[in-house]
Amino acid sequence: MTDEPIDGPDEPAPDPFGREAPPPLPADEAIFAGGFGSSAPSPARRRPIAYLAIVIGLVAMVGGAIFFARSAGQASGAKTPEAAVQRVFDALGNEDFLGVLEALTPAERSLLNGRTQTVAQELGRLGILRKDLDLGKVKGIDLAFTGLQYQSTSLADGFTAVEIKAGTSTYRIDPATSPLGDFVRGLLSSKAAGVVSGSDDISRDHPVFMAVRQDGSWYVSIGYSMAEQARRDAGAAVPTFGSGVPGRGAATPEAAVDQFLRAAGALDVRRLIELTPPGEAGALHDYAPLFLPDLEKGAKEARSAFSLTIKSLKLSSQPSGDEAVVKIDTIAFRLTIPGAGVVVDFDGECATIKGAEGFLGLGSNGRLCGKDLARSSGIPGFELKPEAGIVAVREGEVWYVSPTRTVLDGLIAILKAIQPGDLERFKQFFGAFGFQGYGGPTPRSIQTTLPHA
Amino acid sequence: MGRGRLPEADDVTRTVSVPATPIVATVAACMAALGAAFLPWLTTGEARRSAFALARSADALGFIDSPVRRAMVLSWYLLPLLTAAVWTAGALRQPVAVAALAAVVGSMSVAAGSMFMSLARPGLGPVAAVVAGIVTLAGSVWLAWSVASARAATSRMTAEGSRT
Repeated sequence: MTDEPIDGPDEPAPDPFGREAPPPLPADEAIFAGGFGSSAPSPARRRPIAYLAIVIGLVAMVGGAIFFARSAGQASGAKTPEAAVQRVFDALGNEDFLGVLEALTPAERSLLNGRTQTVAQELGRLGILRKDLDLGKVKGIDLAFTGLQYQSTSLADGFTAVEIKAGTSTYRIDPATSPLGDFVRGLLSSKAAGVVSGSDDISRDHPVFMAVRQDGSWYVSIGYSMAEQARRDAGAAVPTFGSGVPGRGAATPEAAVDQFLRAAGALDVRRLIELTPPGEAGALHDYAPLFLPDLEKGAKEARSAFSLTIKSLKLSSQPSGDEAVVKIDTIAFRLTIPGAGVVVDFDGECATIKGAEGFLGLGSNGRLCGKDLARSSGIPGFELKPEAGIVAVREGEVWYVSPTRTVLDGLIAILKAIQPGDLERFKQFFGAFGFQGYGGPTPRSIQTTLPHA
Repeated sequence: MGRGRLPEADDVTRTVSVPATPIVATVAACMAALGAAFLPWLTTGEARRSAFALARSADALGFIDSPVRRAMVLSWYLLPLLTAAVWTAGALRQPVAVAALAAVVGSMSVAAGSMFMSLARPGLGPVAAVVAGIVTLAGSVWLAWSVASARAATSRMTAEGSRT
């Protein structure tokens, strides 16, 4: 092993790429080194600045390792309940939709993420919102929140209510650049085209946000916030978190939906809540004891007024990860309303209605089939056939029914089924009833033929 | 050992002289790649996200849903550590280590930048990352070539020394 370096070669080395090799460098311009584990030049030859560079590098490596460890294991939530709420307001003030989503609990985030974008796209296609709407850059709406002061109340371990005690919101909405689409702009009167701005005391209504701790981080929960606000408005006692109605799902998505539909038919409120996902609908499970007795009492009374019996039910599902869209292939049921003397028998294709002949365009035999059944409402667009289903979600290997996802996906399916021309017909339909404020046709120009009819 | 001593066989693979310029350039390019990661990659509303904040957001929003994606995100968080390692290797005069680590940094930077540019409307960050990554890769190739040249020259010199 040499203590001294061998300086550059006397002859140029062969170029591995066939190019002319560089001339040998003077010793003071060359760095003496080899491969991994090579012997560096004697430390005695290093200048102090080299030592400083090494120290800086080592410190930076330690910093990089800490950064990696923190980033890799970092939850996306906030450190305190107040910080979680502040993140929501910061994101709103920055018109940062992504930031708002990040501040929410993971379950609610996964529920809204993607679906919101799809809804915005469909609304853009229909002209309700701008076609080029980017949820990351919503123009025409400026929000600012200042002087926010919070008061936190721990309701249970991991559940903190954060009330806004003081704060001002300032807003400015410019319809000209706002995300409203052509269809909605056409409905607006000229008075509504001006810029709207102002400020408001947001503590006036004592808004409460519920922060929930998950994996050591705090998130804002929309579901818990709504439930807590409702509880406060009702003056009810604080529920015992974690001891509400327990989740009791099913082994398969079809089984969960089957039980859900039968429970709905039987107005079995408790079973309906049990079948909702405890993670996503945790607030419903936790707050249910506050309203369940009244609801069950009401359901009992309702059961004496009508009964729905599902005779047969065939379901199929399309699972995708922890979600599955369950569709009703066939269903047959009997609906009885003793008070009105009405009995509806649906065999999967035709509905036989007894006791309401003459209503809804029914024939003398009270039987409606296929398209006639759909057309009976007389509302334009009713014949739309959205590709919707009931959404089941898997939590801990058990399947539950997600009402929120079902509603959102149903909304998306309906929006996808609607064409811009349908909206025009809706406009004419409602215009006939004296809806003003748009420059549309007069009632005399209403189409007499319903769409798809 | 005196200055006139001829290198022994195993010394040949370990002690070569490499110009300082490619090492400095490669280290600088690596730092530029790291700097690019802190530039705005995505702007939503008035909020600007760096590459690391974006990775966290993607994770939070459930886009990191497979082991491959998880590994990609985790390796991305290694970028500062790798860049610091490149710096340290440069300070320790280890050109092969610099070249190897820089190649990793450059590849990551180019891959992340180009991937994001293909997915969304990018900010300044992804463009800068691709440019810095390409420069880093070029620097590492230059450095590797310099090391190979120096090694070949040293081997030849050793062989000549043995003959005499």
